[in-house]
Amino acid sequence: MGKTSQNLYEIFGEVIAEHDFLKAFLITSGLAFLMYFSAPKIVSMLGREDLLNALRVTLSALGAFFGFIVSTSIIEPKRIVEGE
Amino acid sequence: MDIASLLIQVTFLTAFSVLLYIIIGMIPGTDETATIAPITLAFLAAGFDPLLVLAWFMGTIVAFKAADAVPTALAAIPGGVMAVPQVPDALVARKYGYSEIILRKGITASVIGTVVAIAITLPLSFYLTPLGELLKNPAGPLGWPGWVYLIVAGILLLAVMSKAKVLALLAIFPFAMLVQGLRGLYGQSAFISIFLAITIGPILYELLTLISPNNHHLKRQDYARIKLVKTGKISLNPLHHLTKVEVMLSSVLAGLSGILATFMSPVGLTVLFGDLVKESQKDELKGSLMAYAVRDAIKNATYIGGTLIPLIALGVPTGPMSAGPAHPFFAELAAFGGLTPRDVLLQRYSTSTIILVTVYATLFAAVLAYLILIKYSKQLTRFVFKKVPAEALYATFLAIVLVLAYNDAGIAGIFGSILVGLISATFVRNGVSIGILFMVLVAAPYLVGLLF
Repeated sequence: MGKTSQNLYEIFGEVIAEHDFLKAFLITSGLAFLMYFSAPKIVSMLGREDLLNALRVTLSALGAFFGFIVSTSIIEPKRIVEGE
Repeated sequence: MDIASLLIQVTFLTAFSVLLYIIIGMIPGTDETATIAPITLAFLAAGFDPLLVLAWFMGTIVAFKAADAVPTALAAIPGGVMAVPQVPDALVARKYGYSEIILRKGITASVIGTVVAIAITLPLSFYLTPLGELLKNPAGPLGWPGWVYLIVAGILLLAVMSKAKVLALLAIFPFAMLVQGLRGLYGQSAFISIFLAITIGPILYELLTLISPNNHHLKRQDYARIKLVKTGKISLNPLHHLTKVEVMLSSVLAGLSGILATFMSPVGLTVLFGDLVKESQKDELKGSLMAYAVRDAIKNATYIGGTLIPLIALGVPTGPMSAGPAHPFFAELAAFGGLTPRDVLLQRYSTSTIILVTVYATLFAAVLAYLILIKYSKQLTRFVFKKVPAEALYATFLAIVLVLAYNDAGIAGIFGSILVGLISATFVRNGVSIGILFMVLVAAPYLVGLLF
């Protein structure tokens, strides 16, 4: 435990792996931008074009949040917790 | 919206924000501004009701400020920037086997700081409202609105209190020129992309360093090892956790800091008053326990006072808190027809409704955070450290910033954000308070106007 084939780096007191960060970044930004650009279709389906600007931001934040859930489920935290 | 349905929505929103930000607050390296501001801004830019977003915001700051010291007490790892001054106190407590005691002192003092701050600063905010109108009128030799003099005075005060005084003073005009230069390039008075770039700057800088060949100093061979101290069952009664002197000091200094945070830096006040309390005690352990509790009370109070007084009384962001994490409430947003959420809040709701909702959300958040943290702090810390990867969290906030920057100024907004983020991080890494950069962003048009 505590070893990975990836390069590990320490930032802000946290250890992160470069490929895992890249993976998380692609998932979260991919989903955020996907939702952002899907917003016009979604508002036209809802018949509420007046909500476009509001929904764009809300949906993209929601996309980033989904990305967080997905990334959390597939990436292992680089911490070993020990009790005293 | 009638009061009952408003309070029901506030209850759900505040409970959700408390649960979410207890977890975020415990994660090391999560900066308050970078994690609170983008989500608040996303809600407001989407046109959500400003009073409901204010309730959410109060829940986030109460929970984050109470939770960020939990890993500090249990593992000497600060959960956020504001908890960094508490690390030496936690290490002294650990040396004497007092980690559990310092944990409950901190959580209880957070609640005291919250209650005192809301009791003092909210009524004061409404009392000071006439001052806000005066501050909007042009005055003085430069013909600036009054609030601009205040914010420039705040920038200078913060600069001379910074670790890097000369660099902080030197940063003012170049950073103002960068902001105005980008706005000129965009052809609009962009705010969101530049604001978020400052918030995310330090994280962005570190992440971009990873793709540089000169990143050897950041390389590690193994995972981070975190030792959690032993804890037993902790009483829910807050009166069991603090001495009378600690309650008195926490209350007085929280009240004072809540007001001073209108213009001064929350971190600065936490360090200043915490160190004064520590130095006043000859006994090392007693000084550290007292300082730790007082710092926790001050953290909550500065965030609450630094938000509410400028938001309700002044109407302009006059300090690092209102120009930083709370600034989305002062931004002119398309979702509100070019008005600020603050204007809409005061137009849409009566004084009594604002007071009721704000007090309710804040106290509910404080009680909920207290109960959760006192009962489950160790389990939560263990869960967060074992289950939430830092990569996912950093990537999420970066994604939110990128998409909002794109929404603000297109592709140019993304590149502009990278530029502003890197320059901000360079200043911050060299000892310039991030609060100075936020305040320069607000005053940039006036500062650059002096040069031409």
